[in-house]
This record gives sequence, C-alpha cells and structure tokens, in this order.
Amino acid sequence: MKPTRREFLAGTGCMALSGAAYAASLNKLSLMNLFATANAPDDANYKALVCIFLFGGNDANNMLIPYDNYADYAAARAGAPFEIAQADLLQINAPSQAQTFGLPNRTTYNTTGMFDLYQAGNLAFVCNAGTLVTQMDKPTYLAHPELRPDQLFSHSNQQDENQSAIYQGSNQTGWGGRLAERVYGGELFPLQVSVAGVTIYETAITQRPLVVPPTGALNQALRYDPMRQDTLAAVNAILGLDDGTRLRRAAADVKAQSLSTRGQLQTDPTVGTFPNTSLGNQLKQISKFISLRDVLSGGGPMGRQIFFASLGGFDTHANQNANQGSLLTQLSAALAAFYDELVRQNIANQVTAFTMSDFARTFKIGAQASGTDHAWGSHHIVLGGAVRGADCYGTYPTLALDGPDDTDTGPNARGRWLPSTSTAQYGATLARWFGVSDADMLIVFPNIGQFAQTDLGFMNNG
Amino acid sequence: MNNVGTSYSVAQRHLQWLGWLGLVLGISCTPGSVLQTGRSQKAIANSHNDLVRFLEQATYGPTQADIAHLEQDLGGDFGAWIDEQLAIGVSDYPTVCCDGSRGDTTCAEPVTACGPEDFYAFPTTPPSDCPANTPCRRDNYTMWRLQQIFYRNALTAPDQLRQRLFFTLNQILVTSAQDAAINYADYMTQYLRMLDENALGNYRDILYALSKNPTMGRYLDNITNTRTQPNENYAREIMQLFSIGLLVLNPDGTSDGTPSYGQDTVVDLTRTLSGWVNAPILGRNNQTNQNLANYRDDLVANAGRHDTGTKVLFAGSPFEATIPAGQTVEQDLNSAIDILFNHSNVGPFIGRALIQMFVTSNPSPQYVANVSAAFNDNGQGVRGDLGAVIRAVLLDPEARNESPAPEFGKLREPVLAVTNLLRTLGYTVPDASIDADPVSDLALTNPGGTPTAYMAQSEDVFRAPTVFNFFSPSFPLPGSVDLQGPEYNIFSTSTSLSRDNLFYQILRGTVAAQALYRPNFVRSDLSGLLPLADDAGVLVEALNQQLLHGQMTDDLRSIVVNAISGVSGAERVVEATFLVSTSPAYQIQR
Repeated sequence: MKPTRREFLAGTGCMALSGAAYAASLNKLSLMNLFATANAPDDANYKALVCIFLFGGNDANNMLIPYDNYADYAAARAGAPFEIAQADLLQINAPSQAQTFGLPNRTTYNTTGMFDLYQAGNLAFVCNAGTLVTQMDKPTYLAHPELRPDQLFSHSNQQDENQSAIYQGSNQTGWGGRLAERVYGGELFPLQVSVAGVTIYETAITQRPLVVPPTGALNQALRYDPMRQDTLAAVNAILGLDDGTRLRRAAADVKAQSLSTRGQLQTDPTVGTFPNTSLGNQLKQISKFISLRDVLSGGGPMGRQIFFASLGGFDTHANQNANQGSLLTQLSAALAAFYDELVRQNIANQVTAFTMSDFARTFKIGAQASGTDHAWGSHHIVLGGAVRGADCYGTYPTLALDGPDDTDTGPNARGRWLPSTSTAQYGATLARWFGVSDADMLIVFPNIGQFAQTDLGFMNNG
Repeated sequence: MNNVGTSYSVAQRHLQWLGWLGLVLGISCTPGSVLQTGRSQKAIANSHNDLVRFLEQATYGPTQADIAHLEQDLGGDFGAWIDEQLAIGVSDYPTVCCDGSRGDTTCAEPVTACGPEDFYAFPTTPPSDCPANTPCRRDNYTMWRLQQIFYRNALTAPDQLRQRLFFTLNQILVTSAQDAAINYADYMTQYLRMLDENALGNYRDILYALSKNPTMGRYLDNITNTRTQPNENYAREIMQLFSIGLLVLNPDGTSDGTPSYGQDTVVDLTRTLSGWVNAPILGRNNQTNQNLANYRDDLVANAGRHDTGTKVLFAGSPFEATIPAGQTVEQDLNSAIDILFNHSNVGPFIGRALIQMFVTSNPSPQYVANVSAAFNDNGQGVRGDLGAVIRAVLLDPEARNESPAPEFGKLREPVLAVTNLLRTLGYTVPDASIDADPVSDLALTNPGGTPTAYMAQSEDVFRAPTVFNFFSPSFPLPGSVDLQGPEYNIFSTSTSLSRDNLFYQILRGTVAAQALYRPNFVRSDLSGLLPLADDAGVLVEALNQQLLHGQMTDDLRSIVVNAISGVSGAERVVEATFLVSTSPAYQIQR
C-alpha cells in the first residue's frame, strides 16, 4: 500500500516504506547504521541541536565585555544606564583571543550561570559572527556594496538570513530544515520540534517541524477535543481530499501531521527543575522531548533531533538597562538549568544548544541615551558537553569607532562591527558535529565554499 | 441589524432556509458584468453565491441581514454597497478623559465628565481603589476592554468595510501592548481612534497622524529621538513597514531587487523626525504621586531637541530628495511625509498588502497594478484615497472571478475565521443579563489565567509580538517555493488543533466561564439548522450554501453526510457544522 503524502511526512506507525527504501529514494542519506539497533536505546548514536533565537538583536557588546581592554568599552559607554562597571565583571580567560573578558554580574545583568558553565568548560563564545556573504575587510565592505547581505539592519531580513544561512536572494527554507533533510534516518516522529511557533529556521520541503506550545503537559500539547470516532475519521478523510487548490493542501498537510503525531505523545515526562520564565519553560519542554528519545519514533531510537526556542525583546532602542539586563539574566539561568538537566539525563555530550540573533547593536551611545540601534557582527553562545568550552572563537572586534572593524565611517561612526566570521561557518561547525558530510554541507550552507575555515573548532567531533 | 438577541420562531427560520434554497436553485439575479478598467467599476452579483462570496471578502462575515440588504435592497450591486459603506458613520472607540471626580486625582484641564465607555487616565502604578482581580484593573491595565470593543464592532457594527480596513491598518501600522510601556487602555485608545476614523480616508493623513500619535511615539521610540541622541527605530520602520518597503517596486508590485533605501537614508530621516515629545500631562494622581501621562493628544514639537541641518533622503537614486536646513519640527515632518507618501512605491506596497488581507495571498501583478493605479489617482485626481483603493481591491476582476486559479485564496486568520462563523450562522450568549454588552466574551486577554483561545492561536488582538505583526506578508506557503501564505506563519501543528478546539467549543457552547475575563462566552446559534436535522443531505446542503457559498465538492459532501448518520437532532447539527467549518474548504477563503 503506497503511503499517502501525509503519512510519508508525518512518519506514522503504519509506515509502509522501510527506512532503507526511503533512504534509497532520497539518495541523500549521510548516516548509516541507524536501523541496526531499532527498539533498543542507543544514546551513543543520538545527537540533538537546540537553537535559541534571541529576537530583536541582542547587544552582545554588553554581554562579552573586554576586561584587559576595558578602557575601549568605557570610552564608548561611560555614563550610560546600561554601562557595566569593571568591578561588576566576572573575568574569564579566552586563550584564542589573547585577552581576557568579563561577563556582567550585577542587579540586572546576572550572568553567573553562564560564567559557571564557561569555567567548567561546557560553554564557549563565538565572537563577531554575522550574516557574511564572503570573507571581507573594511575596504572591501565599503567598495563592494553588492557583496553585503540583503537589507543589513532590517530585523525581518536579518532574522530570515540568520535562520536560512542564505544572505542574498530568496530564502524559503532554513538551515535547520535542510540539515534535517540531510540527516533524516527514517525516524517515525518529526525530527524537528519547535516550542516557539513556525519559523524559517525549521522550514524545509519534506521535513515539517512539529510545533507545540511552549509550556504545559506534553500529552496535552496536541489536544483535540472532538472525541466521537465518526467525527475523527471524517476529519482525517477530509484532510485527504484534494480539490486542486494549493492553499488547502498546505493547511491539510499541517493538520494531518498534527493529528497523526498526537498519538505518540502519551506521557508528560518528569524532568528537573527549571526557572518559571519564558525560556526556562521552553527548555523544560524541550527536555521532555529529549527524555523521550527512546520512546518516540515508534519505540525505536531517535537518531537526531533539532529544537527551536526563542526569547524576544532584545530590540533595546530604549530602556536597555532594564530590558536587556532582565533578558540576559533569564537566559543565563535557563541555560544553567538546561545543562543540569542534560547531565541528569546522562546525555550532556550529545546535546548542543546555541544562540542566534538578528544582529548586535551600536557600540557608541551618548551619556543620556537609554538604548542602542541596529548593528551587525555579534557574539553567540554554544553550550553542551561536546563543546570545547572556556574559550572564544572567531575574532573579537577592535572596539574602535571608525576603526578597522567598524562599518560606519567618519566622526559619527557608532560601532557596527564587520563580522570576522559568517554565521554559515558557525552553523557548519555545528552541522559537522551533527554528522553532515562535506558533500552535503554545501546544500545546508550554500555559501560555505566562500570561506577557508569551514570548522571553527569549538566542538569535539570524536 | 444583528443577530444578537433576535428570536425567530422555529417555523420562521425553517421558511427562511427554504427560501434561501429556492434562491439558489432557480431564481436568478441580474446577470453580472464586471468591467476590466477604471475606478468606475460596476460589479453586479452573478448569483446569490457570488454575493455571499463578496461579503465574505468585504466584511467580518455575511449575516442573513447583510445578504438580504445587498440582494434585495441594492439589487446585488457591489459598487452601491461600497458607496453605502463609505457614507456610514464611524463605529468609534471611546476617548480618554481625566476624571476629576476621583478623590485622588487632580486634572490639568477643565474636568470633563467621563462618558460611560470612556477610559480614565490612570497612573502607571494602579491606585489602591483599582486592585488586582477587579473590573477596574481589567479594563484599564489590560487590553481586555479594547478587545471587547473590537469584537463588538466586528460582530455588529454597520460600517463593516471600515472596521475590516481598520483591522488591516492596525496590522500594518502596528503598535502593540506587548510593550509594557503602552499596556494601558488609556495609552492605546487614541491610536485606535485615529486608525478607525481615518480607515476610509486618505493615507497621507494617516501617515501624518501616526507620526504625531503618542502611542506610536512611545512604541517605536520617536519621543526619545533627539538631535544629540538619535533613535532610528521609527524612521526605519516608517519606511520598511508603513510606506515604501525594502525594495524599489514597479507599479505591479514586482521588483528587480534594488533596495529602496540604505543606512544613510535611515540616519537622515531619523534626524528629520527628531524633536517630538508627549503633550503636557492630563493631571496627577495624588495617591500614587504620579503624573497622568498624556496619550490622548498629539505629540508636540520641542525645538531644542530637533536637528535643523540639511537632510538628504535616497541620495544618488532617482528618488533623491533634500529637506532644507532651518525648518521647524512640524515643517520637517511634513516634508518627510510628503516625500514618503509621494514615493511611487506606496501604491504597490500598500495596495498589495490590502489585497492579501482581504482577498488573496498571491495576487497577479496585474491585480496589484490595478489597485496601485487607484491609490495613485482615485478618479478625481486625489492620491491615497483608501475608499478608492478598497473599491479597486474588491471589484477587481481577479477578486470577482468565481472560478479562480488554483493558487488563489487565503487562509482565514484566527479572528476572521471565528467572526465569519458567528456572523454567518448567528450567535447568542448564555445570559445577556450578566453583561450589558452582549458580545463581551471574545475579549479574551486573561493575564492571570490559562492561555486564551486567541493567544493559543497566536492572534491576541492589539498585542502583536512585534511591529512585524502576528504574521509576515512574505511567509512562504508550507511546501511551496513560489507561493506566499502569510497566515501560515501562525498556523502550526499546535495552532491548527487549537482552532478546531475553539470551533468545537463555540458550536457546543462549552467554553468554561471565568468570572472576570470570560463571564459569558459566546456560542453559535444553530437553531436555524435544527429543523433540517432529520435529512442529512438537506442539512449539509444548507451548510454548503451558508459556509461555502455553494462550492462544496461531492467528496466533502459524502464524507460529512456519512459521518453524521449515527447521530440525530442537535448533535447532528453540531457535528455537521463542525466538519464543514473546520475543513480546509472553509478555512481557506476563495
């Protein structure tokens, strides 16, 4: 019996195609041996990526602050309500950068969680990464506007470009989605899960993400009230109809996947304690899925999972001290709780969380300004047992207005850093750890060939 | 006329339904004719179903009264219906007053007694006589009461076309109470009034009023934008989202990919828009020692905060425009608005957005060009006439084509999916005496409680996540590389089921009440269908006529008829209505 497109996408328990036949038909499997130990837990073969998108553009200038070169920071930010005093910095070494940094710790801006994870070697920073089409220096940037990503400084475009790793032209799929399609190994449960709605990151042609609410019991996540059997059967039958219109098929596919997947969410697993914040609850929800890795997929192991969570409110044009301070405090505490949970589940080496954001923010502000405007290259966090932590990768920018790393020029330059590293290189490093072959890497990151360094080295790939 | 509280005898309803079927089956209306060109389109309904379809596009849902009026009083003349709608008065939002009768408040102006619906100006910290879990707190410190008014207008207001355009403009020119700084009823209300009163007016007036609106001034930070501390937020978004968009557009909405502005223009427009501040306070609350900020009156100019230098917008492009040095705050604003409003992008940019929100997610370039032309000139030499634009949107041949292309149509967003259902079938509330406003119960913000039905579907009115609205106009249709499906941005495995669950509850009347935030939940009135319950075929055909304007396929019909064969009476009516209304055939409006 040929599976309908719905069954194929959703991967129901009644799958007629064997995993091997699917692999042959797609002709693009990069991982083998996933079926060898069906129906037995096999954590050694499991890996998960957790994307945490900081919407609005996190001012990373205020998160990873120079300690040795603190004067550079103070020169631009002295007197601002959100300036972090040197005395309020938790100092960290960064062997790859030949300078020390500090993470803020005061009433707002409590990042002690991040600090502890860093010092323990489980957290690293990727410095000055942004939507870079090709490697370039400042003269090249100024002379070649055609080499810039589309609509630099626009929220919607930069969010889409970061999530799709396509920096010019149309981007209808995300790199998470394309990655899922490369590593799909016949799992009978959606490989991608989002607890933060529908986004470009997980959009793909064949691998559709499962979207669930950010909190609440997992076995209520796909609650469907009509209980009458005839009605349920009719709903499913209706979803199989095709009257030739394009939009109706798309809606039917989404709902059909939901109805066919809900039967697999039978339990609400108990996990550890998380802060009762937006991100804390999202990471708790994700932890539940991770804890079910040997139960989902029709009783066999999930080989790969990709998760998407989000935290919004980073567009701090005003009130940055209160707003960014509170958000980074939330981020730090949620990451700490998440890592503790991974350890509790004995899976810390198999899960890597990482942040992305639209962009960083203008470095220079005036003394009375309470916020910052849009900029570019930013610093990101990677967290997990497989991360080669306690270091900062990429190249930290020279914090000089109108300096060699500032895309602004002249006396009004505000410090919008030209990235040293593309978010494609950042993502490719994660994807390599995740198991993508070099050949497939070009499909997931179309412009990765522009860069000599396709692995930034912050993951243990052993 | 609305359906609330009206009671028909069962026999009257029965006859009404049979009469309806009679219309469908044989009685013809004047044959339709749709002209290809010109602002003087005259479109007459081809049939009863054509007429219902038009009202689905143009209103929050076709009530039986709407249909009868258009069909019988206006002879199915869509143009005449639009003319009528343009002349109907505004169903407005209340205003804000300073209530000097409050013992703890002094007012900075002569006290005007607050009307029964008006919002008091309250301090940001609630005073002790407005404690948590009271109507005072709910009405003034959340969006609940404003949402209630929104839904009342959606379900009952006679100026339906204006109310639809109001909602569309609210989703393009976004402010949101997600920003805690404006999550107060008295801070949001003037922005809503301004959009509501101007929705069928002129777009330049809207851009101008928006730039002086205190809610927007706070939301996109222009009130902090000064000569010495520039804040680029409003300048950037007024271009990207409110007027010209990101790319240089042809009149038909296509583009060769040339950006319409760069960072230099953002910087200079920021300078141009500097110097606006809140109007003087409305009063002071003595108990909390807080001023009552003025979010009612327009922003005022502050010359000392204004950058008076020369500004150049779109330098080096065909759109280059210079704003001379030495102008006042007000003069600079008018210069900026004139430049943006007269940019050739605005017609296609706003025109296409309106087409997407009313008719179809993927209009042809010709359709966009037609609407664009109406924006550029309403037929009397006036640019930006939104009445002319919406007429062009609704009367275009592509909109009026009853056998549209496969890619035509749009997924009903959560709000419209529900209002269409309620207005089409009719609705009641369990106990109208609990709440004087019989449609209070779709106002569902409940900060302290479980996520509400609209939050569960990601369309919490007046509380969009960001200035980019609930969904993006360019969001790709799932599984497609060539089509857009904006509403799919919030249609997921989770929200698609939430939608069905809400429909099920509305049809069965089973939503749990909550004393403060959901005292009296609305439910569909299916009594008109009950007399047809004994004959499944007749029942399903009635649903076809009402919900699908006669478009039901044989496949869908047979599935529904078979599914309801095992139940009878009221339960049969509920199940049948549920199956039809949650089907993709209904959820996607074509």
